[in-house]
Amino acid sequence: MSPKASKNPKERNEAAASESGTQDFKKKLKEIAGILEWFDSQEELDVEQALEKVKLASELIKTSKKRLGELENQFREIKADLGED
Amino acid sequence: MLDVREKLFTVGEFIAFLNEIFKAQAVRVTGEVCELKRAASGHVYFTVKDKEDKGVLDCIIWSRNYELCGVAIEVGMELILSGHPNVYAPSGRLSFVADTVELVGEGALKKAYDALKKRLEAEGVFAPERKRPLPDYPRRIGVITSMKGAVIHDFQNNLGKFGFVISVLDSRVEGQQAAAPLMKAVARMRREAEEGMIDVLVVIRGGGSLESLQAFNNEALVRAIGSFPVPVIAGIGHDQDVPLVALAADLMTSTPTAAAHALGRTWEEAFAKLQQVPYLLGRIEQEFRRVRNDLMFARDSMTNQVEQGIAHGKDVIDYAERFVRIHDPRRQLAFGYSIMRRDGRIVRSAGDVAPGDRLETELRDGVVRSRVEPGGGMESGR
Repeated sequence: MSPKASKNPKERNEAAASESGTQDFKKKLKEIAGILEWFDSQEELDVEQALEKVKLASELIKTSKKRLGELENQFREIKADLGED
Repeated sequence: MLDVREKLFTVGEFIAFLNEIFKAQAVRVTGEVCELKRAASGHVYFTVKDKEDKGVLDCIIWSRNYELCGVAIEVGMELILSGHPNVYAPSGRLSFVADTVELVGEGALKKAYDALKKRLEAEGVFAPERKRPLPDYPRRIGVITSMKGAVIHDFQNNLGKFGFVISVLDSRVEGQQAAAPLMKAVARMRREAEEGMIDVLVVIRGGGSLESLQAFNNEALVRAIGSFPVPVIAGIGHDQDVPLVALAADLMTSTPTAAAHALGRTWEEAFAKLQQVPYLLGRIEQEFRRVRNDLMFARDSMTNQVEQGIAHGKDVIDYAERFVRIHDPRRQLAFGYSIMRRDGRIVRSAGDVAPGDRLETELRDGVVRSRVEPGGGMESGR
């Protein structure tokens, strides 16, 4: 739902949070993909940088996994609401 | 029963007796007007004479009947009078009391018809702007007609079963004598119309000559129809000249049957539309099914795409996790490699350290702290 669509402030906030959360998740996936590309592009690996990248990627992966889990749960609820034919 | 031969009448009683008999003897007399006088009261006194014989007859027509008869009596006119004889007691004079007066001959009738039509036309009595449309779905119908003859049956048989409530007034419709009863019937129907008890007035009769339809060219009747409170249908058959009542009505039909059909027209149209309802309901049902199918398709399409998106996200994260694990420099520590740091920076070369430097060496399972011995550094590679 677009954040502006609802007249209820609580619903508007929830929708806005959901939308920015979704944007956040996409951004994280993009960052992870960027890190993997960096590794692929290194002819000679700089260990120091590699350690930093690994640390960052691990953090991103951890939060993304959590967020993906939340999204999956939301989706299951919605699917149950839509019901069968 | 009174035997008049036995009774001894006074003059007055005898005159009254005669007048009783005369009143029961309604007759029609024809003659030419030879004298004429209109009193201040409006009553008209005139004399008619035979063309053939030498007979003359004094006549009276009371003002109310004269206004109704629609004939402007003039000397020289040939008339047909309907009425009865009467003896005027004070003078003992016999005269003829005319209830109605009509012109003799088609020629005279036509002339009077044309003149009245022209006059009423000029006044706008027949103007198209004055015609009112029939109400939609009329239900209560007032009918003025003669109950003798086929006209009323033709009308009722062609009305259609739409729940009409018919109120019929039987009236004379033939000749000039029909003018008074028709006026009375219209007056009664007017009261019903004003009380909202009829939606439409229908005046019907079968075809006839100008003479036969005289009453329907009566000025008073024409005006009464033209000013009727609800729409009027006139279904009056005619030869050449349209009866003036028909011209003054809101709708003119050539037959009583056509008048019946006119009343049923909006009902027929409504019923025809109702016939379409099952088909339209079928179309609506079809549309509901189509929209429902579209919604189901949209739901399935959406959920499939989201499921695929989630699965893809999982794949990406799983791959990233494995990739990062494999490329993590600390993975080499399990093979006996270590990472050495001085002041938090990774030591890449022996030349990066000097004797006395404090070092931290990260091994597979922990960190070892050490200090470079004198003589350590570049030479330590040996």
